[in-house]
Amino acid sequence: MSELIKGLASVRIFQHLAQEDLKKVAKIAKPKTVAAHTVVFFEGNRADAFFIVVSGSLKVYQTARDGRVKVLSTMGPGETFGELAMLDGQARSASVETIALSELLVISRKDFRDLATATPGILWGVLEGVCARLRAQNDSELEAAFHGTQYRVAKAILKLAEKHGTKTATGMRVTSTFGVKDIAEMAATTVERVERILEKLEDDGLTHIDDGDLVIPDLSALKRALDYMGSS
Amino acid sequence: MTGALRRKAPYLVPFFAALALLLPALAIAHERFVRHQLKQPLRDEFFRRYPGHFLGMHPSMLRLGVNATLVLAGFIFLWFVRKPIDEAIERLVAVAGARVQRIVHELTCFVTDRPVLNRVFHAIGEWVVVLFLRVPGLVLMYSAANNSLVMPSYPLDPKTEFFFKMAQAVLAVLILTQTLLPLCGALVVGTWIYLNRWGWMVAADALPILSVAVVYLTSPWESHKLTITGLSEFQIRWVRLTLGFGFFVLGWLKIYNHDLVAGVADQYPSVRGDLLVKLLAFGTDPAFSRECWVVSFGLAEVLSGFMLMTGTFSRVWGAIMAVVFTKLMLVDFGWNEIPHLFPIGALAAIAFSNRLKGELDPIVARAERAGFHGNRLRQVAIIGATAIGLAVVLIFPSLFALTFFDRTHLR
Repeated sequence: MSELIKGLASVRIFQHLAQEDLKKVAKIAKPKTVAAHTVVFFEGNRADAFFIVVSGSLKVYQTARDGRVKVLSTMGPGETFGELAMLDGQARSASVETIALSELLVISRKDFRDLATATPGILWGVLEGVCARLRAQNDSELEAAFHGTQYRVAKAILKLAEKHGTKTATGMRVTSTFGVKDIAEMAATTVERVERILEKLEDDGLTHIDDGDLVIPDLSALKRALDYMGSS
Repeated sequence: MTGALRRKAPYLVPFFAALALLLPALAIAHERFVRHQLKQPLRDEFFRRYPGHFLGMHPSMLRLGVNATLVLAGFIFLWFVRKPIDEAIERLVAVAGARVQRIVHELTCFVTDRPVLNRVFHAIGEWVVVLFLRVPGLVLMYSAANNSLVMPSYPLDPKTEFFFKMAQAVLAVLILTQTLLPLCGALVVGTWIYLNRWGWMVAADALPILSVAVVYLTSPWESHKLTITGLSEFQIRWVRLTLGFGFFVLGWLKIYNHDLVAGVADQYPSVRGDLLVKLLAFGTDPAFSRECWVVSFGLAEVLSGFMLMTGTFSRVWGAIMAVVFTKLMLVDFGWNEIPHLFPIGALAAIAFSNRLKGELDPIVARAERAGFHGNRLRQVAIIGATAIGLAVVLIFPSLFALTFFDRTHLR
C-alpha cells in the first residue's frame, strides 16, 4: 500500500493531496494489467472510469471517417487519461491502445466524483492536465498548418525519444515497440513517407536503426535540425 | 420577396413546370409486369372478420400479429440496450489483442449504426453514393428503351410514347452527368405525382423513388461541378425516412391486396424462402399456409420499413433488404427486374453511411439518463414499456382495421 501511495504522489493530479487523501485514492484505485497492443477503450465508448499509468506505454489516437489514424500523444508512467470524460460525462473523445505491457490503476466514475467532492483540490490537478493537452493540441495544429512533413516526423521522433527513450552509450534509444506506423500516425503522414524521411535523417547522421531500435545519437543535434526545419 | 422565399422559388418553378408538362400526357398501365396469376384462390374468410374469436380475427391472423409484435418489440428492446451489450462484447474480446478488438468494434459499430471508421468501408460508402445518385438514370434509360415509364409495370401508350421516351432520356442524361440536380429532383417528384393517375396503389408502389428526389432537391444547382461522394446527415435521414415509409406502406398494401402477392409467389416459388417470414408465421395453422405466408411476408416488409424509418438497426436492415432485392433481381424475377438496382443503391447508401441518426434516440437518451442515476429498474421499465407499446400500436390497429375491408373488387 505504501508503495502505491508513493507512486500516486508522483502523479500530477494527486500532487496537491495530503497523505490521508492519497490513502483514500489508493483504496478506490483498482490495478489492471493490459497486454501490449490491446485497446483500453475506443473513441465514442461510454466513459465509466479514468486511468493512471503505473508502467508501460500507450498511445492516444483518433480515427478520421476515412479510416486514417492520428496519434494525439503517447503516455508513460505517472500520466493519466480518461479524466476529461469524468468531468463532462460525454463519450470518449479518443481511443487508447497499449504499445507495451502496461500496468494501470482504474478509478470508476462514481468513485472519482465522490473523491472530487470530498477533495476538490484534485480538480486543480485535472484542470492542469486538460490545459497541458490543450496547449499540446494548439502546438500540433500550428505544426500541421505551418510545417512540412519532415518537420512533423522529426518532431514525433524527438517526442518519442524524450518520453520513452532510454539513454545508452550510443545515444537515446527508442525500442522497437514504437514502429514506423506509430511515427506516421503521430505525424499525420504515410508509412512510406516516414521511411523516406528516416533514410534522410540517417544520411544526415541524426538517427539510425540498430537491432530494430531507433537510435538518436545526439538529441540536441536533432533539436537544432528541427529549428532549421522550422525556420526554413 | 423574403430570403426564404427566394431560396424556395428555384425548386418550385421546375416542380410546377414538371407537373404542367406531365399532366396532359396519356399513358396506360396494364398490369404488373411480374407474372402474378393465382394457381388456386386464397380463402377470403382468413383476411376478413372472424366472428366468435378474439378481436374478430382469425386465430392464425392473431398469431401472426402477436409474432410480429414480439419480434418488433425484441428488436426495439435490443436497440435500447445495445450499448451495454456492445460493451460486454468488447470486454470479452479485450484479451484477443488490438487487431481482433478493432474488427469486433467495427462490426458492432456497423450493427448499431455508429460510424465505422475504416478505410475500406469509407471507400465502399463513397462508391455506393455515386451509384445511388446515378442509378435512376440507368433505370430511366432502360425504361425508355423498353417503352415503359420508370418501370416495366407502366407501359407507355403509343400516342405519347415518343414524348415520354425523350423526356426520360433527357432526365437520365441530366442525372448521369449530375447536371441541375434540383431540377432532376423536381422532375422525379413530378413523375411520381403523375403515377397517381393509375391509382394510389400504383403510386405507393413507386414511393421509394422519392428517396433519391430528396437528395437531388437538396443538392446545389451547380451540381455538375461537384464530386458528390457522401450524403449529409439531413439527406441520409430523409432517404431513410422516405424509403422506410415506402416499404412500410408497401407491406400493408401486400396484406390488403393479398391475391397479387400470392399470385407472384405461385409463379415464383423461390420468393417464399425468407427466414423472417418463416419466423413470423411460426405456430400458425398449416391449413392456411398460403394465407399466412402472404400476411407474414407483408408484415416482414412492414417491420423492415419501420426499422429503416425509425433508424433502428438501419444498416442491418438496409444490408438485408439490399441482398433480398439482389436475389429478386438476379435469381427470382430475372433481367427484366433490373430497375431493382434503384432500391439496392438506396439501401446500400444507408448501409454504408457514417452519418446515421435514429428517430428513437430521444427515448433511448431518456432511458439512459434513468440508468445514469442508478435507477436500473426505472430504465428497464421505460425500455420494456416503450418497446412493447410501440410494437402493439404499430401492428394491431392496422391489422385489425384491414379485417373490415372487402377486397373482392381488386380481382
